[in-house]
Amino acid sequence: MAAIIVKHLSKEFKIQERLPGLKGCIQGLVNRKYITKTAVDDISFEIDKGEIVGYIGPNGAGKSTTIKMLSGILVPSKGVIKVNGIIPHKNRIENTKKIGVVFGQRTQLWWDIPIIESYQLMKHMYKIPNNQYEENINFFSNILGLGDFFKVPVRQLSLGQRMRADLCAALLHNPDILYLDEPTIGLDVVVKDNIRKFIKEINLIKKTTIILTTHDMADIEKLCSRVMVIDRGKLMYDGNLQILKNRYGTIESISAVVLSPNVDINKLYLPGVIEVKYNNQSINIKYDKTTLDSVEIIKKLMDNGKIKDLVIEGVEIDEVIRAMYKEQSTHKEVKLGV
Amino acid sequence: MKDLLLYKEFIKIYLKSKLEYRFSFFMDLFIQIFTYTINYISIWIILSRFNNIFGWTFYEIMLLYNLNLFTYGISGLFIWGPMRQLEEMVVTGSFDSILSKPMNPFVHIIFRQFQHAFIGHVILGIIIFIISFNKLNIEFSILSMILFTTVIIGGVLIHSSIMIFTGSICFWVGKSNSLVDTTVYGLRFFLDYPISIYHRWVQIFLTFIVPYGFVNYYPAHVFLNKGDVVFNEYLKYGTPIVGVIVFAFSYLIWNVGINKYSSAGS
Repeated sequence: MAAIIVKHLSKEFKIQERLPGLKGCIQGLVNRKYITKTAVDDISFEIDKGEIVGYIGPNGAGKSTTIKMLSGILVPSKGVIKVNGIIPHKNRIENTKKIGVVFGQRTQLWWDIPIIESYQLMKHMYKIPNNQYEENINFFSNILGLGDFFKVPVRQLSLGQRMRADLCAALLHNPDILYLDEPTIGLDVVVKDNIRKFIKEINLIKKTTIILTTHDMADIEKLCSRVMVIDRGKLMYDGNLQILKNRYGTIESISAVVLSPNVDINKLYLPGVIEVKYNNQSINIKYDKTTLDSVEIIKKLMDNGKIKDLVIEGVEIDEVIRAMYKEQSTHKEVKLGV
Repeated sequence: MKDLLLYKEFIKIYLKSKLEYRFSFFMDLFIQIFTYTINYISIWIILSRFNNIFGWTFYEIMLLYNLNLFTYGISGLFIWGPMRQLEEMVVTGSFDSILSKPMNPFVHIIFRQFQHAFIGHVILGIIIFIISFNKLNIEFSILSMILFTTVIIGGVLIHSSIMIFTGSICFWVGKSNSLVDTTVYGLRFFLDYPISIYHRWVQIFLTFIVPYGFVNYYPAHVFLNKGDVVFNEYLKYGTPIVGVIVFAFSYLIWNVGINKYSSAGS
């Protein structure tokens, strides 16, 4: 049975049209013009129990708006949402008992008090039985390593610690569904990795359905088999990650710093290389990884000079979306993966 | 009952987080008591020169003023903080976390933001009630106690409704604190004196539009034999009824407002 059903969901915001300059400002005071912005535009999908779904898209695509409607915070303008059979914004309280929400940018914990006190309050708020509470606190603090800062107020925590504390708070009541809005934003590589492992484990052990928004492709690669791509409110793709990547995410790039003063960049144009930029000592090569292996390029680079530093950059989500648009504009009728 | 237990937990957390800054906690209480004591002294100074204002003596004015202060204090303990902070929560989108918890959002924000500074109002209010009741020889009977209690409850409801109504406006316009301030600090100062001294339009405004008159002027007549009541004699019993009506209305506005909430980008 589908845990989440969304049909023809739209959300419109009325925003004030702001005219530039002081004159425009004053004009806006007297005579305001509003424009309607469609943040989410006719989206439909279903998510099964136990799935981990990555919800990706550039900034302002409508990711957070969708999550907020699913969790009952925002009221949809059009369409139907059913989460565990109930309509979130109409049965807000019932809905919140079964979901956990983490907003990466904002903490759910009390700023000035130790996190363990916040958890105590959650326990009362969600009416969590004692044994379940103890069990979860132990379980989560072990994998997330919370023990070191249980007694530290949130304001003194680092971003990574705060994120881990927030994850624990969202899961204390054993929710069926977990919404994660940018869970790894602003974190360093090690913490990111920890958090990803944790999310994976929760999904395995507790069978929690997880939806996460991100614009970090690595999050998606490590966690999700299914992705939904949204841009300007429209669902562009819904389906398998591998297919998406094979189809659109084939352009990678290598950046290198070379020590030798002069490199003949013409020699670097192997078949499959799209573009080479050479500036001072740094070289950036864009290539199609389906026709050319990165090893070949690195070999070629090393033949041509001494390499000081080298980075392979994977697919950026923006690139994927750009590629999607290109294809859609050439074959308009293609509806992808749905 | 369960809610009360939950409230206890919230208060514990609130006090803990406030006592992190202990100096400011006690200063808040002290400053409120100090400010309002000064206000009483200034009324006394005026009245010691004029004997009475429109037939109201010092202790009568004191009772009148105190009905306002005390009910405002109780209401402020619970409602003022949340409504004042609502604007920021709505503009920044932190109201999200209120809506994603298994509690009635209204109860939740009240539980969350108890405003300790108003303890000062309440303490001073109790002292002044004792003094003025004694000086005015108001008899203590079961009936007068019941009447007094309903007047206090009605007054608290009226103050709360006005704060809730003006606060909820931010769901529509984004910022509403100037409106909260104008009503709570500005308009409320009309209540320092009996509304019978003002122009007819002000009386109409304070009775039928923003019903502050029912907080102190009208109910004061229940306890004092002052004869003429503005508009109608029976309005003096109106406080609890008006309180319930305006509270229901402002709670309705609040609920409509929540569905208008549009969060903030993140």
